Amino acid sequence: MDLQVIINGILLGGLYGLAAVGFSLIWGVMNIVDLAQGAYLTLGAYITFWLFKLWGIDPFLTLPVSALILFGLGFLIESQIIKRVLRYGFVMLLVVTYGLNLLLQNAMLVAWSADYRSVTPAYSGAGLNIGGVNIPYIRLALFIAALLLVGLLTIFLNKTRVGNAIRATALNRLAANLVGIRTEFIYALTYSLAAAVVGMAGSLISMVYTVSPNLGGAFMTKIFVVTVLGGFGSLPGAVLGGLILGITEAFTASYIAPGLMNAVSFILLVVILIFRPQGLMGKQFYGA
Amino acid sequence: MALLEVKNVSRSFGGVQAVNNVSFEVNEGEIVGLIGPNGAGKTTMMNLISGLIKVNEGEIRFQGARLTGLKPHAIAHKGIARTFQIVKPFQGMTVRENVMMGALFRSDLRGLKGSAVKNIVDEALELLELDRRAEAPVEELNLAQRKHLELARAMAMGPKLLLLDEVMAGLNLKEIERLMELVRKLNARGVTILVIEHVMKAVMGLSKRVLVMHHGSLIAQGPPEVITQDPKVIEAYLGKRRHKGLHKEAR
Repeated sequence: MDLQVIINGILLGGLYGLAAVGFSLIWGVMNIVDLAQGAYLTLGAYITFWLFKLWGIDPFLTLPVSALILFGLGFLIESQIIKRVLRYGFVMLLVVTYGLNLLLQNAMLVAWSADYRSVTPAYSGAGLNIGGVNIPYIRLALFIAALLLVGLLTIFLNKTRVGNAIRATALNRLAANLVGIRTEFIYALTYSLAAAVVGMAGSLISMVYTVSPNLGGAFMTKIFVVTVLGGFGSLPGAVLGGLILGITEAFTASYIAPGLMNAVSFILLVVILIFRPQGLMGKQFYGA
Repeated sequence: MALLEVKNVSRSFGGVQAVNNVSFEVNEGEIVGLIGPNGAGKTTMMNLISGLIKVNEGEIRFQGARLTGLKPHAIAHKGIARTFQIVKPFQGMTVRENVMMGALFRSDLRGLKGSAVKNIVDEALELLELDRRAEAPVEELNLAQRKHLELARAMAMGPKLLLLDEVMAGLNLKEIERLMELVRKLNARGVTILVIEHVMKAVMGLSKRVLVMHHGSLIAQGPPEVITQDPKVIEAYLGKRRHKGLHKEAR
């Protein structure tokens, strides 16, 4: 076993986990497969890129900006579009979010071209070397940031009044409504929150990946695998799923072939679906 | 004083008149029964009161203020709680968490400390005899306990009016008697109760006044012993010939 490969996988997996959290939350609470998450991720990455490029703002400091902008965008999209389509059911929402994704992605293509861009803060090359294992500072920082954000979100969902309202709405919307929760507002809030989180994931990802309008599309497949691995609606599950996917990818790239990374990930997905369809840490998150 | 006033309320679904020009009042402190054969419009009536569906015509007032047009959460904030024929717990939470969801979103508790919420939850758990199962996941409860849970969650909301939609359905005789006792206990604490029930023994035993719906209309109301003798009611339930059966069952 190569320790370096495992470390690489784990550091990458944290980011995958964070990227999948919003998707998992929306699926769990609203029963929507939100294909627009990819575009939100890309937008978050671009926000970091432009703030860094134009004003030299440190990429980590751009996180709140990404979160705010995407929260606003998410709120607008939920209250103006998603809300009106909800009653037409699962498939129609799939079509709508797919359309939204295309729209946003192409808008970014028109506005900022297909050029590959990268965020390169001064510290991006430096790293730690422990016993022959190399840990780049930036990857370590991203990993810690991702875990922190998931941790904060978990605390928010479990300990606050609004968090409890979101959980109750996820488990049984009707009952939640009748104990006095404004479930319509909770839907808008959940969607915006999920957009903000995936936007922040995009911001972090922009520091280690090249940014282009396609960035989110590439990540969407990973988000799928992570969510299925971990189980819908489970935040710790998303992190675990992310770590497993990260390690699997690292091993595939090192020992089999980098080109087979996605293939192996999807084989893993299918195996999990066959033997444990609820995911590794899946609970029944939405009620009957 | 009338706590709840239903005035000339109608509601149709497509061409079906589910509730047709129904008027009644529920006074403070009463237990009122709402009975009628399947499809009479009882549950629709409850849905109209709790705001889940909209009133076509007429209006509903609570403590003198209009309910008609308010959203379900706003109606809940006014002090109307309800339970369902098919229980609707938050599966995945514990018994305590379920009851807590009742207390957490009360408009009158906003800004209060967590300890105040905890006290309310403890009280509701004890009242419905669930204190020993407080930390259990809901999945472990049997049907009777789940019905108690629904009532505990509703009581944690601090309701003035409690709408009970067939709480007795599916319970055995012993469980029914126990639950009847509990419903009387809730009423004694000042909660007004409107109860839909198919179990005649329960509804006749609990209610001082019974409303009878048939084909969406209110066809009779009065004390249980009068209602069971009413020819219109007997006909609605049994057709013309077998009317002695209902009378017997009511006892």
